[in-house]
Amino acid sequence: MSPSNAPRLTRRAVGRIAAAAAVAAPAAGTLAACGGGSDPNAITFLSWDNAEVMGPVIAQFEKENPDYRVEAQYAPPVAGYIQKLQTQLGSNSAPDVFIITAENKHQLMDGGFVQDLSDESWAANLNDTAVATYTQDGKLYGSAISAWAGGMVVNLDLVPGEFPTDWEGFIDLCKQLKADGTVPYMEAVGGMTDTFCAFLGMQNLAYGGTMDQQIWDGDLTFEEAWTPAAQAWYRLFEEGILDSSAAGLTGDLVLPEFQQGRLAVMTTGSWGISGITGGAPDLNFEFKAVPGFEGQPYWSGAVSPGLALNAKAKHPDAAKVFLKWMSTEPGVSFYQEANQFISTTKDYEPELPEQLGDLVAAVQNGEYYLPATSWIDNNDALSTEANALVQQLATGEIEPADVGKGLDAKLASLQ
Amino acid sequence: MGTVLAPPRSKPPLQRAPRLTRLQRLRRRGIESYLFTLPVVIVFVVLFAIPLAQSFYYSLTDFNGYSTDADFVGLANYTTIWQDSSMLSALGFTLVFTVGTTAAITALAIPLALVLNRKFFGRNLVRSVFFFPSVVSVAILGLVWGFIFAPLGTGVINSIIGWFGAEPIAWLAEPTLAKLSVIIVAVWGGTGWHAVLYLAYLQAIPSEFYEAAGIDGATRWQQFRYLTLPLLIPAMTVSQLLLLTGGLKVYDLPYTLTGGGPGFATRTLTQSIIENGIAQGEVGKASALSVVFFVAVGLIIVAQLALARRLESRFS
Repeated sequence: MSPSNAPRLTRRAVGRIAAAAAVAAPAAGTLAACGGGSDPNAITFLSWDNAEVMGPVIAQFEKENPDYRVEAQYAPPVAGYIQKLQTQLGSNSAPDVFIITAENKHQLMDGGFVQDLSDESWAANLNDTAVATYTQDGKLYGSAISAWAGGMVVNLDLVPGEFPTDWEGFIDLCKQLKADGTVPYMEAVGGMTDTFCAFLGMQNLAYGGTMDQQIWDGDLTFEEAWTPAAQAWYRLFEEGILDSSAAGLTGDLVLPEFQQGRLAVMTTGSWGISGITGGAPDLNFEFKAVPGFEGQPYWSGAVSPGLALNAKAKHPDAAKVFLKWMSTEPGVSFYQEANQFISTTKDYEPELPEQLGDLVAAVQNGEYYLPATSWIDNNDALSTEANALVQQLATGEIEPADVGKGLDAKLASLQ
Repeated sequence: MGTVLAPPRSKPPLQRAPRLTRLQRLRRRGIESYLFTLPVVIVFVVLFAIPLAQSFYYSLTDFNGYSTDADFVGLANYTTIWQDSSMLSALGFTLVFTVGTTAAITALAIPLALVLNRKFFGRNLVRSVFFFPSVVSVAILGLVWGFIFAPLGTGVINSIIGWFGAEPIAWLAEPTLAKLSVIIVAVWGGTGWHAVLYLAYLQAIPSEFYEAAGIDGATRWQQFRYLTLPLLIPAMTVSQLLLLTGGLKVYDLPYTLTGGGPGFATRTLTQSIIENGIAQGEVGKASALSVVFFVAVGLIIVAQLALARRLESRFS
């Protein structure tokens, strides 16, 4: 048809087309964003890890399960991830599988957004601590296949002897190192540190492992439970081992000091080992539990985020295939080898660096504590408050007892 | 021959205009002008008016961001935000940051623009150097300055003062110093950009004004005080409006440099809104804070514009 013969669009027709396009474009965008569509073997997944980490894992799943394909979206932890998931759940466009973590587990479980996984065959493969972390009213809502722990990392060339297991012994060691001209200890006090959390773990043991439940039941206060731990930790400042500048330190500033042999002891989590060996492959070091201020040494740590199944999953059967693969040996081993985390599932024994020492057994036995994941509710609000209070303690703005008092006040305002 | 006088003009009788339909009135005014504004109106409604109305609605509920059945709680959220010490601290630092950066950048950008307006060798390079900090992501600036302000003796600034025998300073660990550090970085990053803004206005001032002032015997200072400065008032209005709105909304720089610490020392209102609304699932409370914040920003901007208009009329 020649241009001259083409039917001429009237103004009204143009208006109708424009209106239709205006309506269709957002709708098409929404549908495209939902993904998965009609393919029953397509699994939509919102990943917490980035594409570099999760991409090869998904590729391996699709290679071993050629009938299925995973359509992954990525959002960085924590606030960005939670915001994206919130929006998707609110608009009924959430993926089949997503991450459940300390920051959102209560909202997801209480709101009925996640399915009970207790009856899945592979649930028995999960570590008991991992199961307890994502269980509510006897129902399992998340599959966590790993955990981490944090403690002290010791330069064995600068601290050649036996590492103390009690807090007084550690204080004495630091004083001795300092007198000899060695920087004994550094801690980046961006909030609750590994040492502080481990002390709280010791307190939790002293209260029979139910410290937080007792606080929420009104039988105990943060002030009563936390003050002994805060006082013990504050001795680092009273004894001149740390000063207020610790509140301005970050892990990135402390790490080079340790790698270059200028620092005897620092703190980090098990995930930090590749950072240490990456910059100092020949450094002679080992992870040690935080010396006990009352009783045995202990570790900070937590169960890693778990995979959850959307209560309104479009393809729940396919999603369960993916969850099973990720929660049992084939998926766990591939993920572990690719990312060097400490897997805790029962059917797989990971090969881990020997510098982790006793930390591996502690992780697999659940001998660690992190307040933010142990609190009964309002985890993130309390965590923000606790981090600020610990920083204020480090800068001398408040006294050790004020940390617990501040948290009591915050909890009261939240309830 | 007598002159023929034209008959006196009289007003034509009034005729009632035919009643026009709304569409005809629109056509008479030029429908195209309305159509051209339509995309902006749609963007405004979708991205501003509707979210603002939603925020106001959520501020009256206990909406947690997940559950769709939120309960009406009246003004409870508005009461709560004033009882939270961290919110008040955030409000205080946000105001200090806004006033501090606006005053400092204005005080530095105008002299810098005057220097950059002169002819000298390498002028374009110098202009680029001063403009460069505003090109880099603020988040990256925060991370880099974190190393510069490091409290260890190996930190950049502490190394320099260490050459003179001074002890390391805990720049980001002491509350007052941390606030000052954040403001310093913001001023460093923003001065060049605002200097270029002033430079554009300076270049629009005709050189004849200065020639005439020179002939009249005006000194350099008098030329600046009575000629340059009054003609820069419109630029100051624009610059300060941007600085005030940017300062009140600031989030990324304090967050990347100090994380809002130590304690709550450098926490900003936007950080509080984001943390409450998203991470802590208190969308109602965060929305109440957003509404109060919106009203406060509006009042400050209106006051600033009124003051700027008075200054403009006084100097014009």
